Amino acid sequence: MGGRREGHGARAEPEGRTAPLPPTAHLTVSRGLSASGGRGSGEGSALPDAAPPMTDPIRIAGLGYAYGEGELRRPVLRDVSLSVHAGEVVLLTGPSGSGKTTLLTLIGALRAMQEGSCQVLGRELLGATERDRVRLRRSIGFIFQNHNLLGFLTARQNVAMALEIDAALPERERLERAGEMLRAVGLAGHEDKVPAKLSGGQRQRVAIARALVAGPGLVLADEPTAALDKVSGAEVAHLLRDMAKSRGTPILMVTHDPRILDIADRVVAMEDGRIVEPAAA
Amino acid sequence: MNAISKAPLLPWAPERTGEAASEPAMPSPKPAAGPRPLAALLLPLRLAWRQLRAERARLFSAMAGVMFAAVLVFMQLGFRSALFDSATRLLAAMEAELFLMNPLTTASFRPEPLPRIRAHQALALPEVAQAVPVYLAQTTWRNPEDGSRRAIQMIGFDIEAGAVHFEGLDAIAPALRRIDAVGFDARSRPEFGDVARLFGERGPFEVQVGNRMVDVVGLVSIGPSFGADGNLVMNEVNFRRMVRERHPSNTDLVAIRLAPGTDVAAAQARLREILPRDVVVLTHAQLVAHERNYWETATPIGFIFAFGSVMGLIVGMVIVYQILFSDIANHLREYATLKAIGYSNFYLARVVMAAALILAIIGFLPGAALCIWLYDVVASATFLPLAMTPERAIMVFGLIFGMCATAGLLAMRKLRDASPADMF
Repeated sequence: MGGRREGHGARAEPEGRTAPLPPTAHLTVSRGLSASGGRGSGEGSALPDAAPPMTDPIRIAGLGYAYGEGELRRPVLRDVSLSVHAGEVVLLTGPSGSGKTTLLTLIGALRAMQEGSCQVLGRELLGATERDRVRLRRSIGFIFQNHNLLGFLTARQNVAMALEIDAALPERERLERAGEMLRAVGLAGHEDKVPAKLSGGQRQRVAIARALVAGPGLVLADEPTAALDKVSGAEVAHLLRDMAKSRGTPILMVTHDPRILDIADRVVAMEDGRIVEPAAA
Repeated sequence: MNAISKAPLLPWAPERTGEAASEPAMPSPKPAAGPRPLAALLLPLRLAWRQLRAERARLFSAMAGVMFAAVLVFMQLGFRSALFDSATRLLAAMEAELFLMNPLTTASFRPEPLPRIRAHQALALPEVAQAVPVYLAQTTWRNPEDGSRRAIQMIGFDIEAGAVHFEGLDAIAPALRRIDAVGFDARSRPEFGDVARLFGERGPFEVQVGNRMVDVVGLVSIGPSFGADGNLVMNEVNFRRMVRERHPSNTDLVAIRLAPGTDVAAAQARLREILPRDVVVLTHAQLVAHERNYWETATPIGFIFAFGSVMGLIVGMVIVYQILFSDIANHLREYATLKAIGYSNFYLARVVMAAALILAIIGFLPGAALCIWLYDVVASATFLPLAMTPERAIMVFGLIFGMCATAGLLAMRKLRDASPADMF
């Protein structure tokens, strides 16, 4: 298994944007396949990397994290262990300050690990370099509390930004896939509007499309419904769940919103830096 | 869980294959071998352009800032080179291959004399075709219109020898052979009087040069320089007649014409061998460079204009830095989001640098266009040879680009504040 994982990583690496020269031949081959076979299209071109099968996308054991140094050191996560299985939708709840957002940033490779083990999509994050973490982020779809769309780009261009990391992808394919994804989140006809011309719910749908368009192995969401009213919040949450389920993408979502607990396969509660309710539904 | 059953190889492949299946009409992508590195440069450029374009007012102020810097640098460098060109214009007009000069001469308007006999000694070499003494002195010219006096540069030499050539000289060469005949530089500053008009009206007329009345028999075109506001050319004999206090065995410069096909460097070396150490042997380029070097180093002129250029660049840099910095600061969340979805710091740095490049180009182009016009205006006001040259345009663009790139590098530090960990 381990050997396979490494082999996979090595194959995935040249497809990432960071090593542009050697893999061109390789890429051309896989593109050729996709032209004839159809199935390989995504496999060769855009997916930066993927974990081996049968591994949980998230496996955390004994994770600890503290802010500050010396006397000001304030632990926020203590001995956290958590697994998210393939295709599973897990909600992380808990009072503010319970460390759930910190946990999410650690899983999302946005923050350097301090202790314990955190394997995301088959990559160990403890001791991972900034470069490793940047590469891992490309296979994670992020949805933020605020949509965080680029105001100077249209909805379609915003979604395509998630594909622009792969410079080898033809522009037309990028825009087509972005448009496809926008239609899938119910924004047909709004592709060429800038975020300022969209409603809050529509913007969050664009954010969902952006998170999913590159075919991530995992979606991390932080209170995606917090800025929305009740109806559009529920709509967005269900849309996200349905989209992820149909693609087999696992979701880990931090939320306070009790109205959307029904989308979860499992709810994990946190308190004071610990997981207090590891299993539920 | 369906992912696993669907895709034994890649658990997250189904959504991709599903997508591919849902759009079977997607055209087969071109082989990406060629455009790949290019795209890696063009995509940040496009993103930068879209971001700049989104805020017109800011874009225009940035453009104006870069344009201002470009105009300032263009004007400073233009003045600098115009002044140096004008300072060396007299020497540049001489057509001989080699020159003899007193080693103590610092500038042509203040020559140290050298023995005239050196010209004859130079003729000892078979490759030397002609050795023409050139006399330089400053005297006063009485304005024929209002009687005021002003210093003017006199240049005396054997006109027929052809070692020195100015525009219009050939036409009046026969007339200059007459006693007390001088040619007036029509491009001299207007303070000498409108000699060109008077000459057109009256034909040859008398003016006072020094303490002597001489005849203006024609016009040449040289142009004023630092050392001289105007020029008079005359024959060697007339020069000696007008400048009495000079020792007849001395001259100021010897212009040497070589036989056609002679190796200039070898002739220079042989002259150096046979002539005493009281003269230096210079090629035409060395003579001009010597003169230029005097103005560059022995006067504050070079420094003044370099300083002016640097000030322009600093002001421009501050403006561009402000624009880039506030662009980053106002878009910190967006930059952090881009980092969160997998864009590297290096990629965003390229976006900032691309923005700097865009500002350099869109500020430089109108700045250069404006300067072509300004050069015209200033040239007609100052009689200095100001013109846009491709070399200067390239150089100024290089400076402006460097300025914007430096501003970009400084602004880039702000990118560190775009921390994706704070996004959640």
